[in-house]
Amino acid sequence: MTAPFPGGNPTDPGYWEVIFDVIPFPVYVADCTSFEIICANRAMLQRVDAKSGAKCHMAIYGQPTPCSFCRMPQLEQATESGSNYIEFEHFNDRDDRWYQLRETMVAWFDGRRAKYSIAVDITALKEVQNALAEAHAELALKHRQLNGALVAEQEVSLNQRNFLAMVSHEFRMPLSIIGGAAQVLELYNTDKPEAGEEIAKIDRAVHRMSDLIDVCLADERLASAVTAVQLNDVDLPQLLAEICAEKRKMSGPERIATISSDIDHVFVKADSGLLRVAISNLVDNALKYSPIASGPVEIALTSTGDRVQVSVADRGPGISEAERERIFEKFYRSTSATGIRGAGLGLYIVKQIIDRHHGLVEVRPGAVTGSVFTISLPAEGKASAVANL
Amino acid sequence: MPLKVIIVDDSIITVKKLIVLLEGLGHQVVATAGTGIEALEAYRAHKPDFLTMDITMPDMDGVQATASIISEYPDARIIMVTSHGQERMVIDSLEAGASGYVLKPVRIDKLSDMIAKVMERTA
Repeated sequence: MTAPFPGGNPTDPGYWEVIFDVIPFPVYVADCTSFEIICANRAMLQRVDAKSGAKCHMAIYGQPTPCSFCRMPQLEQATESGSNYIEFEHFNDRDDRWYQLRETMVAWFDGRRAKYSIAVDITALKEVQNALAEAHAELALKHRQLNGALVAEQEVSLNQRNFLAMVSHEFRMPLSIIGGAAQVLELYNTDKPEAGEEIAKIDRAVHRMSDLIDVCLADERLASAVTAVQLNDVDLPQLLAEICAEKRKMSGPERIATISSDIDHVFVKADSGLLRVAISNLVDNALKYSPIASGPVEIALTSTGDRVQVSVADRGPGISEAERERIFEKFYRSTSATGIRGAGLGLYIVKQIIDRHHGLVEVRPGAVTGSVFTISLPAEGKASAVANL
Repeated sequence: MPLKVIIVDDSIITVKKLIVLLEGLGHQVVATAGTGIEALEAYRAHKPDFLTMDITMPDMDGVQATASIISEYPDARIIMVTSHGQERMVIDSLEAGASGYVLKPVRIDKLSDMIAKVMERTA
């Protein structure tokens, strides 16, 4: 049944309702001052009870007072600047739908300023957009969470390093007192071999502890972003000779063979303290894994092109192919290390130090038994000559 | 164990809907607030387990209200429940300290998931 056409009297709201009824979207007209609904079409009335005379904020949005998001003031401003309409998207809490609204300022026939509003339901489109926005928010939250975890981890790591550095420094002084006292005792002890052996044990323990502190401090220095590696020209044969002399003193001269070398002077750009720790670690490892009386650890210095190699061969159980890369990882302990003390830091430190010197460290099986660790570094200058150190 | 919750929204209809949803999930709505200032006062009075926050409100908007609550209670769990899906709003809210973001229309499964995530994140 069709509504009768009201006879063409535009001052009659019914006239407009019939015209608006042909529009498939919700439409209403409201007084800009009193917020009273003047008329609404069928599509509007199907959604809300927007009958003539009701307040628009109450009838459409369920708000007893004008809505905080009301666009009337904005519409007034737009009209002043020459445009009589605004378009925007709005979510209506009342029916949980999204609308694209076009609101136009009109002079109603009885002289009132009124707003003509037409709404297109865009809920389906907004749901897709909102799903994306929610995913974006979730990603941003995860990012924040990960960042927080990273900062916390960095802080813990920094605290650990600071603690380690502090403890290591604090240990040096009492250790040097113990070491010094052991040497003084040795001077007094001329006729008691048992006491001499005990003093030697103290001396070895002090050196071992001192080496461990060096490793800890090297790790701390390498991990600290603020401490740069200090590079100088280091005489590599000289450094090797010093390390071997020290290790022979500790482990016994028969446990380290004479260094074989095809060069007598070669300089490398290195941090001498760190390079000493790296080579010492390799020699200590070789001594640790070579059984007593299995033969000496062999150290060799060779050169190839513009690089120089230091190799340390032990007589230990060897390292399986599967483990050759992993043994340089932090805290990794080889399956053959069972029963041998260690923290899994030594070879990690060696690799870190050598990496900082643009060098390479690798391991291969020994000629007969054990393993050969080789450090390769860029040479600065060298003089060839067969020499024994 | 029901969680204590405050609803902050100037739309009476939204507040009513959220009460139904949250109580349906077994939580206890201890207060509602229609402005940012009321939200801060309600938070001080009730110290809820979490709070839902609208963005568009009179006086202080939801982003500012979130920042105010977080500056006083850094561990506060605030879920933005809003119709604003623009990237800038999302970023502003999260930077202000919000722990979750739910866009209207609010469905019970979406809200329930977000509450679980927020409680887990800040547990």
